[in-house]
Amino acid sequence: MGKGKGNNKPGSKIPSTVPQKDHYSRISYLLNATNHFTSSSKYNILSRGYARNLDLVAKKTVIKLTPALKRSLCKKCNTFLIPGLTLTVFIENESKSKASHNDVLVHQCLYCHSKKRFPIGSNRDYVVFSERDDVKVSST
Amino acid sequence: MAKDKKKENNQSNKVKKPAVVSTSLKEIERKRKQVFKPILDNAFTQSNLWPFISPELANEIMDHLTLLLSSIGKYNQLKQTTKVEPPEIINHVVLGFNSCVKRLEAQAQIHTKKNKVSLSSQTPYYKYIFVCKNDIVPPIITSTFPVLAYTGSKHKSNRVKLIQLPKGSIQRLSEILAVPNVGILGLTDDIIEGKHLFEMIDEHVKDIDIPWLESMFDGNSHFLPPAINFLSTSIPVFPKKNDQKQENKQKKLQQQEQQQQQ
Repeated sequence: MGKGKGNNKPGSKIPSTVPQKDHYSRISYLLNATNHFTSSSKYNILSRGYARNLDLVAKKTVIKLTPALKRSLCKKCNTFLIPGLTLTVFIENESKSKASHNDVLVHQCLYCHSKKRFPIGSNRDYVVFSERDDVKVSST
Repeated sequence: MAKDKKKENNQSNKVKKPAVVSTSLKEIERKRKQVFKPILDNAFTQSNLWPFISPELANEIMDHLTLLLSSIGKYNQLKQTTKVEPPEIINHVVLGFNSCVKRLEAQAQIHTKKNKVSLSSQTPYYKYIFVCKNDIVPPIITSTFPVLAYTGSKHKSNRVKLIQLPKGSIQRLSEILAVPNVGILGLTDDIIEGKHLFEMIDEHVKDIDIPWLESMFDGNSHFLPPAINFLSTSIPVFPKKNDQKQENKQKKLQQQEQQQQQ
């Protein structure tokens, strides 16, 4: 029903304005600040503070963030995750038979060592909702 | 038997559920309208960072790789049956996701301030990373590579080169190396036999450019505007509450009916 009811539908137009744009700007600015301070070890506590603010503002204002954005921050300590600098990535397979459907991609924060596990083996065709063809609107 | 049933259940669970699951007739009849919901995307784009490689160049690179790696393939085939000396090149090549990423991460350590010891010139520098990007699913596996290659670079003028190989190269690489499923491959920059290949790559493949990470090298940071995207979804249309017009209409209709009956 609702799904896939086209981006191509004639009368449907992408809105030119966004309600409460200031909140979006604020969150984005906080993200930039987070990135700015991540690179120097002197300020990485400040960086985490900004990231925490970002998360709280997004929750308070009920603004939807893409999974790509959410995944760039550590869930536990709010570190901005940059592969190589603050994040380590590896594929794990804990099954005895090493079957490929048990593959798990692990993102581990180098600061608090908490792991985020993506069971990639169970569904290789999985696409995040915001990236699906019928949902994503390519514009702006 | 019980086990089999369980398996079946698992499989049925895996089948994708349709977006709107409803058995109530009221729900099915309800009209929906299409809306665009704003969503905040990551301002630091993670896609489109891969350097472009023309098909002709990719073919040439594959040919060079075949020549380079064939000795390793022969060694892999022979070592199960007979004792053979490993070829020298084997120390300059890493295969597979985990080992490749590990090397790059080790290289990236020079940028974290804690242990800012510059790599001595003797440690191998894995400068050329080949990834069968289109063969590896889901793309989340390879999505971290551009940034990782950037952070794993030694110096701004001596960056790690990331080369995406055309579709189907994962099979070709596996055949050459006689190892199943080799989709990711790293080479050090000191292989003498590969000099020609490296020159070609240096000339034709662009450096990865990640503007928001430039501060890692020179301290200039970039602030980017918010990336607001839209999602196309639908919402149900509910009848209005306290709709005076509708009520008046219905009242009129009822009156008319009463008059007709009289």
